[in-house]
Amino acid sequence: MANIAVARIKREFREVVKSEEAAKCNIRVELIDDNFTELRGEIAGPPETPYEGGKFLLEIKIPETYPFNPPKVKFMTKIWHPNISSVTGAICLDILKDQWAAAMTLRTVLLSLQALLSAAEPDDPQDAVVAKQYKENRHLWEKTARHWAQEYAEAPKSKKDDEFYDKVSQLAEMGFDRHKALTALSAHEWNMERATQDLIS
Amino acid sequence: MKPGGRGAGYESVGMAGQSTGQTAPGTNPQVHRQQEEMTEGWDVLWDSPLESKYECPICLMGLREPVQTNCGHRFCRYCILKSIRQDICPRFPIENSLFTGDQIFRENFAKREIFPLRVRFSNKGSKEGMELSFLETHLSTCNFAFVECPLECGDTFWRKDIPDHLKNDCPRRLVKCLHCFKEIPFDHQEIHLEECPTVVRPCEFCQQELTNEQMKRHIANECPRALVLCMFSTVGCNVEKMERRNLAEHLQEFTQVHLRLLLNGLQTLKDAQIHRAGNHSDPHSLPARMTEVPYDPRRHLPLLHEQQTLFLPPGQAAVTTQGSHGPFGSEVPHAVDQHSGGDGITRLSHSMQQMVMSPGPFQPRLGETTWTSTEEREHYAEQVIPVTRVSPYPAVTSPYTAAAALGAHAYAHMEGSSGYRTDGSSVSSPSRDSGAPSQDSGAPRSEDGSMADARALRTKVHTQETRIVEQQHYIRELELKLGSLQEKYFELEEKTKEKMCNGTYIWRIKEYSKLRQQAINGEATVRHSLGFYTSYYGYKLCVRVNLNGVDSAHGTHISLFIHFMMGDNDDILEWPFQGKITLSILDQNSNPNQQAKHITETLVAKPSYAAFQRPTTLRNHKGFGYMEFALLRSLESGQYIKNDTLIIRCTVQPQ
Repeated sequence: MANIAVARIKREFREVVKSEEAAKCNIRVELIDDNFTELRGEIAGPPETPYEGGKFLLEIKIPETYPFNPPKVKFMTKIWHPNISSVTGAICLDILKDQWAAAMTLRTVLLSLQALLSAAEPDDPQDAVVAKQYKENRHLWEKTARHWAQEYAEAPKSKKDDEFYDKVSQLAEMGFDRHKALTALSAHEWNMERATQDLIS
Repeated sequence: MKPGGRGAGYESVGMAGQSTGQTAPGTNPQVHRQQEEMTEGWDVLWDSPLESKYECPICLMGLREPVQTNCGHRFCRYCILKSIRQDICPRFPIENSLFTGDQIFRENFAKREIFPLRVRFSNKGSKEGMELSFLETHLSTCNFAFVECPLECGDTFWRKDIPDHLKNDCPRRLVKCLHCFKEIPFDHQEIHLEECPTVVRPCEFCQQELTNEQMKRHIANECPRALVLCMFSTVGCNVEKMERRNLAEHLQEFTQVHLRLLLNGLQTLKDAQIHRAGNHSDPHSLPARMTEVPYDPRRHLPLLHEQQTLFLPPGQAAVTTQGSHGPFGSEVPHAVDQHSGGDGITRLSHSMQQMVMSPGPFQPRLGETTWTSTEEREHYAEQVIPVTRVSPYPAVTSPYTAAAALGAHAYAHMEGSSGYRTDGSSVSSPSRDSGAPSQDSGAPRSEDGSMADARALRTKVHTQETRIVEQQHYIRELELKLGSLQEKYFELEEKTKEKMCNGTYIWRIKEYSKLRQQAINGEATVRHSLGFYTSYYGYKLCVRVNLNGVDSAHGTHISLFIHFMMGDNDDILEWPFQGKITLSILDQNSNPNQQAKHITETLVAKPSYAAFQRPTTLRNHKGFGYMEFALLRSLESGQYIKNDTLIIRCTVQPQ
């Protein structure tokens, strides 16, 4: 990898580790390989959002042309969010695409992602199903997103979500994969019949 | 010449180049010098932590050659220029607003503030603290500074280790050749052994031990086992290369074929002549017309002479000098010498006629068996010897073979007659046509018998000729068919090649120095590669290079662009093109211990640029790439040009 990219990542890595946010356990990065081409990021679900209390893992790949091209970032933790693919974890965020600027760093990227979790942009969606739900049934979206966070991001559970757990468990007992069942239910407003239909077809 | 359109890419890159030129007018040469040495910020150990205002937001190191932008931010000059270069529509790295040109200024104030800061040179061996401003000077003497090998082997060492490296390890250090005592670079030893004139090697064909100096001549002229091409390949004999010692045999076996080929060649010549001369008085007087053919006989005649030495292996030389061997062995040169006063083409046609007329010793009569034993040959020779004695031509008087002599005799008649007639008249009265000498000086012979013989032979020759002409036509038809098939094949091959590269195209620019000179002289400033596809059903592009740069990069940088071309799949592809394009100049240094330092730039397609729209012409006028791809000077330092060849790699990855 180009010299400048490695030198930059080393410095940015230090910057994140030393940052205030890291001290508050809001963001974290760790190295995957010695070449600084791949990193693992982690952001905490922002307070007063369905993601609160969750920990979201990110895959960060550094291109050779870094910092002149943005790092490739996607969610490894499954998440229900209009701007993040519920299937692949791909993120739709302008600064990771054409609005990237060479002066941005890992820290700013992680903080921007955190901000994205607090303020979704349903008009520029990555996952159309989620975005539609977000716009048409905000309450259901919130519940679903919270449920996903509990299921995948270790967010604390609360009693009132038991209904969703039951539905997923029912489908799982029928022999469906738990994650597929959850995805189908989420996509069909937790309607058992339609979800089952979707799973069978 | 102006480049083929203002490529959007270099337009913006050029802007960066110009803007620096404008901010510091008059210092242009220096700017280029600095660019060469420039890197990102100061990577040193600061005595006290560096304040963030002295840190470049791009490389996060100490500002080197600081510049300020309109919006009040500081960067290393290298970093901001690189940032602008990387991006197709350049933006300021911090505010992300569009960068529109002349907006970078030297920040000498910051420079003055940074220079007095105390630093420690971050190499292990060095512990001295100093002011940053002294670092450069220190680096030029410090024993622990990394220095490139002065012989440009590409390795880097601590300065103190350089002498040792030059003495013991450097692959480019000079060593003495044990054979010729010339000094040669260490890593050239093997190559040198191949060339060293005093080294003795076995010939690759016959194993005879010879020095390199002798080898070339040996293989070109002497070696009996060297592979040579039949000399009739120039007229179309397509037999594969054979060992020199087998050439004579081939010539014997293929006499008929060669004759046919020669005749064919002659025919073509004749046709061309008729075509040019228009309505010539007598289309049948071949020799007369041949003399007018604007045709360089030197191309063919020396060849005939050469053959003499070429195809006679030492073992058979004696036989040949006795004259019993093949029509070319000695007849042709004789005949050629005979007519040396005449025009070259006349000579050629004479010798060819002589050959055509003579059935030769190998196949005396059409349809009959060839000579199988020497007795038979002698028997035949006895029968006709009287005829050969009376012939006035030296070529005939030497006792080659009877049939050859007879052929030559017949030729003598032709020579004497007013023209070459293929109808019966000249054949029926050859003795009268040829005039007295052959008969008057005659030794006793049975005139009727030999005349009948000769007549019969001539009739046969005539039929044979007719058949040959027929076959020629057939062959020509086949040749035409073959030609069109070959063309189709090449076309297909070309197509497959350009489609099968899977988006990575390697362009070898041979004769770089010549092409570069042409670029400097302005004869051909721009060159395009062949087209290639990103995948079998992908986009078609080509690479364009300006070997002497273009516009503001003229004379300093090599410029590299890609141009989209009309492809077979444009209708099913998505336009504008989106994806990544990587352009590289390959490092050809073959030293395995050392990582290749390719010059590589990657760019991401911007859909708004004309360069990425669907081409409406064969090749999109707008290209995209870098005006200042690499310094010409750094290219010529060696590792990027080997054997006068520059290798460019272009990888296109659609999204």
